[in-house]
Amino acid sequence: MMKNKNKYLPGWLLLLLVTAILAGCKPVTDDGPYVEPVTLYEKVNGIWNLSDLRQVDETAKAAGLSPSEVSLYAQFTFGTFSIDLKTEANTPTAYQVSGTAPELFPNAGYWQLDSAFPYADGTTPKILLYSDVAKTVKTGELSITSVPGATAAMELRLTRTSGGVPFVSYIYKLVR
Amino acid sequence: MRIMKKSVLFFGLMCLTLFSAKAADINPDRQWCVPAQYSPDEEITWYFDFSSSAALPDGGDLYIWIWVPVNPVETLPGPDQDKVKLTYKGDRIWALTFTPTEFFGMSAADINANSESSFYFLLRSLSFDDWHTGTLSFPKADYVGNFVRSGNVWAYATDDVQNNLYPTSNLTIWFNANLADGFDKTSDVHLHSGYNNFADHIIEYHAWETTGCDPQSACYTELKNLGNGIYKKDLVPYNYFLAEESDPMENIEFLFVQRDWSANLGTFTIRAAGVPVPPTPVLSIFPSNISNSDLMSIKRTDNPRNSIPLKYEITGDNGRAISGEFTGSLKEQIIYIDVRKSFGDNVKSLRIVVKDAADNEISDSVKQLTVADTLQ
Repeated sequence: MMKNKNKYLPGWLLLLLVTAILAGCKPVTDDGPYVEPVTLYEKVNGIWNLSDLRQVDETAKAAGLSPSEVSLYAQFTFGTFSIDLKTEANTPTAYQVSGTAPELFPNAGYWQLDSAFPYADGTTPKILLYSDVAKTVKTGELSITSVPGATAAMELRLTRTSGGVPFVSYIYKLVR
Repeated sequence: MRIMKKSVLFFGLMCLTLFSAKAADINPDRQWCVPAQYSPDEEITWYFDFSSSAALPDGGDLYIWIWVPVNPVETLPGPDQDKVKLTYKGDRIWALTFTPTEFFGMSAADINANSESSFYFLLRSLSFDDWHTGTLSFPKADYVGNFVRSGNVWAYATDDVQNNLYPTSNLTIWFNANLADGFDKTSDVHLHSGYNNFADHIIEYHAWETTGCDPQSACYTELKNLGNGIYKKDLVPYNYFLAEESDPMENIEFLFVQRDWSANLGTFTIRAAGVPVPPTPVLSIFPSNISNSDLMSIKRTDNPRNSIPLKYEITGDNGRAISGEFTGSLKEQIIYIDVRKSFGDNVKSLRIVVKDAADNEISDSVKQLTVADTLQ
């Protein structure tokens, strides 16, 4: 009986040895230095020029009435509109609108995104506008209805509400 | 003997046939009344065009034999036959000019009260046997009463059964001063008018031209006063507007003007036959709701000729105001307004007045501005 036990011992040792060898074969990965993940700030920041401005009659649109949308690009010198969304080290700082177009939101101030990353559920990210550098007094919200991707084009939507119900929107189509 | 009897009968029948054939049937190709509509105490003329009735020689005598409402003559031929004789106007047109009340010896009320809705008559030679028409008629109606009862401030009628207007039409325009603001029903009323939205052949009311009755005079444009505030004007467009029959006439436009322009009403339009109904102009403000920091546009589509450029006067409830002209074509006249730039931050409503190029008011309305939510 004892003899039988010793007969199997070398097999166990061999199995142990092979396992040890195989474990030792795992390669060492070189991840390189740590980098920040890609944020929306990298896509959104910089100088954008207006290529179209559309005014949406939200009341008419909700009621299914026509017309619900007109282009105002050829009016009010909207052709001169450009916006500079400044960042420092991927942190949003000030923004500045140049041109002589009507001021539908304040021409200058500070900005940030409500989320540095695209929402997983597809919620439209927003540019929040502030009048103070501490970003405590909000002066506007611009929805990013089209995020820059392969083409350097962005669409921002400014919506005004009354009693929580939208009544007019302005859609800024922007290009680099 | 028997054969002879038959021959006599045959010969007699033949004579009868010949005799009958001698009384030739004639019928007018066209008949019309001038003016198109009238009061029974006005002079009117019935015209008959016999272009294709070969049995009636040019200028042949024609008499009217009328039985509704009454016949003014007892017999034809007879002592009063000239009273019912038509006048030859040339070009195979015959005419009878008469004043219904005098002609029939009836009051206007009696003529209107007569239960028949037409005048029934025939036209014939004096002997009847030379030529005669079948029964003819003209509509008979209480035109004045119908117009008054319609409750319309104006109306028109032409001599066309479908009321089409051509440059050569006989046109009657009615006006009820009782229903027109500022009009005194005893004063005289004039037509200030022109072709094609006042683009051509304009016949203005020259209040100061009090002598004569040529097209430059006040007399030429004056409406006939039928009393009780009812006025009418009878005209043939190409004659009245000193145009050619062939001149393009899309419409005639006019204003009713009281003496010395002390009141006026218009502009009214009568479209010519075959001219499609133009789309109705639509004035709109975009967007539906506007706050005082928004942009707005005011647009009017399908504007009539000669109405542009439209003008605007917009006054804020804070007293700030802007005015100017629309831009664009007849199809679309538009203005764009930056509310805050024009009216400031404290404006709550806008009074918007739109006028046409001739300062006629198109719209006067107040737009309440929407208060936008403040950001959280």
